[in-house]
Amino acid sequence: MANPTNEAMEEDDYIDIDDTGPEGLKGADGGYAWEEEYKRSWDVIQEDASGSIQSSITDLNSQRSRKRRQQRSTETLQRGIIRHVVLVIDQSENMSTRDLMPSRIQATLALLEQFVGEFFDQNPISQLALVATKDGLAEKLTDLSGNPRDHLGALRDKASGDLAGEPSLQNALELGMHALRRAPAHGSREIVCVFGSLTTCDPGDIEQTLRALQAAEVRVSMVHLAAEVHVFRRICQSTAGVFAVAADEDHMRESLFENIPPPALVKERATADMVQMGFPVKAQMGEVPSPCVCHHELRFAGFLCPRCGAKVCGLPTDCDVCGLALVSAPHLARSYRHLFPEDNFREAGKRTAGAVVVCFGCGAKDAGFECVGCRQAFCLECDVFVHETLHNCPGCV
Amino acid sequence: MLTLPGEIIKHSSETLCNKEEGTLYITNKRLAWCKAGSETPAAEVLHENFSSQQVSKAEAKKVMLRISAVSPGSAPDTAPNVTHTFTWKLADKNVAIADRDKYMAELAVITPKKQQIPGGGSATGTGAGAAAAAPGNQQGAAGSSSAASGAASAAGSAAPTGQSGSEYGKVKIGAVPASVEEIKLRQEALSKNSDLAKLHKTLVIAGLISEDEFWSTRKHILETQAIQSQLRKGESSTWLDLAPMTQASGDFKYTITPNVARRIFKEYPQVKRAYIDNVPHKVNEKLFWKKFVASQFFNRGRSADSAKGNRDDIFDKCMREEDSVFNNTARYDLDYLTKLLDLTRTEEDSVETGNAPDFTMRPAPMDNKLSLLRRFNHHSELVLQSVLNSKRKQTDNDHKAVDKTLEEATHLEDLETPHPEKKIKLSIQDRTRYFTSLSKGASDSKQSQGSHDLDHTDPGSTRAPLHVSFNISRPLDNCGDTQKTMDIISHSAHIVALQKRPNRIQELRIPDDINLAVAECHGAGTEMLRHLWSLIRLPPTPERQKRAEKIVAAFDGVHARIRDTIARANTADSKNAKLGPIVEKMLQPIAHSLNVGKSTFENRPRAKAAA
Repeated sequence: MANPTNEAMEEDDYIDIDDTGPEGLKGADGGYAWEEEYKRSWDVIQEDASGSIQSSITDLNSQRSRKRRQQRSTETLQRGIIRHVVLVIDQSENMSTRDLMPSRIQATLALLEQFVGEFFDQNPISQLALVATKDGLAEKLTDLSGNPRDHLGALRDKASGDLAGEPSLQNALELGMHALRRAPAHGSREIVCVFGSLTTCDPGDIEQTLRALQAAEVRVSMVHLAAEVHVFRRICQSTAGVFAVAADEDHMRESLFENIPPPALVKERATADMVQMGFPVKAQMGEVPSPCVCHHELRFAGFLCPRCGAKVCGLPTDCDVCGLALVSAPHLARSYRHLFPEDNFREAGKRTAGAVVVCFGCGAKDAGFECVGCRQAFCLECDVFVHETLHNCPGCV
Repeated sequence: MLTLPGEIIKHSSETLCNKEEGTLYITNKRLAWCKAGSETPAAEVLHENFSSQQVSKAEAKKVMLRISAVSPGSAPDTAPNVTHTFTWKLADKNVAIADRDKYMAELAVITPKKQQIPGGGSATGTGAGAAAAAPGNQQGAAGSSSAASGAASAAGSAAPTGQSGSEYGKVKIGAVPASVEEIKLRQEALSKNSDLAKLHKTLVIAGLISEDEFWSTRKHILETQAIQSQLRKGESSTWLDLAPMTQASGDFKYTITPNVARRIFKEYPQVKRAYIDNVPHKVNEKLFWKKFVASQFFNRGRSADSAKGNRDDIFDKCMREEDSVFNNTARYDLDYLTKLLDLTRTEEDSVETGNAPDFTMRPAPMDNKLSLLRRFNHHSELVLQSVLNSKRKQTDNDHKAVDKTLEEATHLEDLETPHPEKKIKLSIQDRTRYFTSLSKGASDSKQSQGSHDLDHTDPGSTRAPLHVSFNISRPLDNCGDTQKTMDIISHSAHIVALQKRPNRIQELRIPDDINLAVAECHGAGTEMLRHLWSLIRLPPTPERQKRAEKIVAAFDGVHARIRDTIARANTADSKNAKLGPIVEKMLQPIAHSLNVGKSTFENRPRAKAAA
């Protein structure tokens, strides 16, 4: 083999036979994986008395989720709390494939209903819009609004229409960007897509759309149901979003729900803006109804806008008359929670043999974790509950 | 003349049309002429169908006005084909000319909107002609230029209508008076959104607010509608598989739409050339496609045996052309090829060694599949070419560049350790401030208020006296007085159920007309407040100040209406004796909002003057 260009043979060209290679390949004892004791991985699954392996499976699942949670970062970061998110749904022919039961589109819509509920639960002052794409065009199903009922209604009625043609990512992104234009500058702008098709039928150059997205600081994330497509992944990565391919239904749910906590800001805002918000008072519920400004219907109960005195039906919302953002204190508290995440519990240290540790949360006998702050012991279920639902340690409070 | 709802007659004159006597009317919706004694118009031209007008010269014996229009219901850019001529019969010619000029002015206002694309100049020609001599010349000019612009607009409009829906691209939303496209957008928005349609009905159709004002605060809805209709569909790049449908009689049916034909031409330029050469003088279109579908060219690669399909003179030529293109291996100029893709570079690795024959790196001998493979590759090439518009650049043969490209090719992003993005830490000065409540005083006062109103209908305040007298950190069996707690809970549940009973509003038995009046007051007041607040929030300019003052002045009208409704309720004959006070309470919030809005507006300019 001729190698005319290299006159001097460099050291790298020879491989040292005793080379141990990069550090990552080493096992726990410093040797390679094949040098270790022969492991029988199938022994991990044990059958219980009735012959079912359900308990082993749940154990394995909980171990896996626990490990993932331990790796979750809990540092306090700047996040965009007031979010404006556009959900893009693919309604192309591809979504009628039955690899997700009962069909991709139905599984997606069911999951999106849960997503909408959870999203408004965790981000009450944010707004959501729905866009569907099929047959090379895109259509807006709902406008940017903070009322989950509109979106759930649209998901049930309009989104389950006929599937046709190929989706168009460019048209969907353009429409989404136009919808986000109304969002004020202090809010974060995001587009979350759920796609099943491997193709996209666009009228123009999607690079142009990508540049426009970057200029408008819109963050695009996507969950794909089939495979990774280079163009989609590139768009997500260039706009600081997340691209995931769903391996199965649980994984799809996990990947989609990753978009629920507010994302960390990548670029520092020059100034911290002041945002004007109103805290409405509850309207006195007399014997006589009065009309509300959002539906123009007679209602007994409502909230009065502090600036203009108009009666609105529910919170959080924007006052229809004067445009003030109306929220209540619990909504803001729920949003703030993301800024101060709870620290992960650590494994309890070795206890003296015979000491039975009772879980502080539920009183169960087997408590394997302890809180870093108050040093109380908790069991696995309480750990999950505290970190995913409660977000406050009962011992610290 | 019988007028349409919402129609206002602007002028009317006695004129002759087709030698018959009658009256010419011009209204805000149309131009109509009724025969003497008749109520319905014999000739009418709606504003949107109106195309151009012509007037007779000043020194002509008769004073005439000719209107040309398109027939109703036709597309906007067809040539006008309907004309009406009206003659004035008055003795005094000057009066007749003045009268006719009134119509001319009205019609001139409408004409500019029709011809937005080249030819806008002609409209000013007809409008400006006030002098007696001028109409004579200008109508000639107007006549010819309107004919020219008619042709120009017909040609010009071919471009916009080619791209369907992009007519909204040029529409400026919010222009007064509203352009034709904006009206279409409004109708579309109303048809899609039932809530908006209901609001529109109660506010605009009832006459409370004008159409323009209603849409001025809802521009974003129209903009969305415009953008959505502007989206174009891209060309599909999937492999075109023309599959036949089997009919009952056993015949195969191929459907070839213009779309399908276009895709076939894109894929096989030889077929396009054959089509241009042969259709329609040698072979008619249907026969062409029939031959195409039956030909060997089409069926090659579609089935196992390549002999299926007829020989055909046109398509055999196509086949030969295709083969010659594909067999030309010099198609790919090696200078432009990246070294990684050049298979000839590894030829030296495939030297025959050993005893077994080397079967690597030799193309498969399946001739019948070869054409299909080549077609697939050609299709992929076309797709990529349409997406990547980059020019071919000559590859660098310098060894350093080659090494660099090879190294980049071995670098796989997925195998790298992911480096975390830099995140910005949150630095808050005083974290405890977020967790303490700022309104300590307010909560105390609420507590005392709660204990007074034990019988109040608000269930929230009944919670205050609910003394929770059990300790939740102890086991549940020694908890405290549960019976008392249960009593209080069930009492408040009873109250809530009473409040939430269905048909509570119907129980009040408010008559329908009062209901309607209340809704109208509320709707009008709310719309005005919306406009006022949107003006207040913007920085003040003299124009906005004037508009805001106008709105505030209109509040008095709403207040009067409210008082009127209450008076009606008081005097209404109804079973419900307390109707008057009830309606007053119902309208109280809107009256209060109006007052708040007015006082805010009045306090604001004073603050600005003081500043």
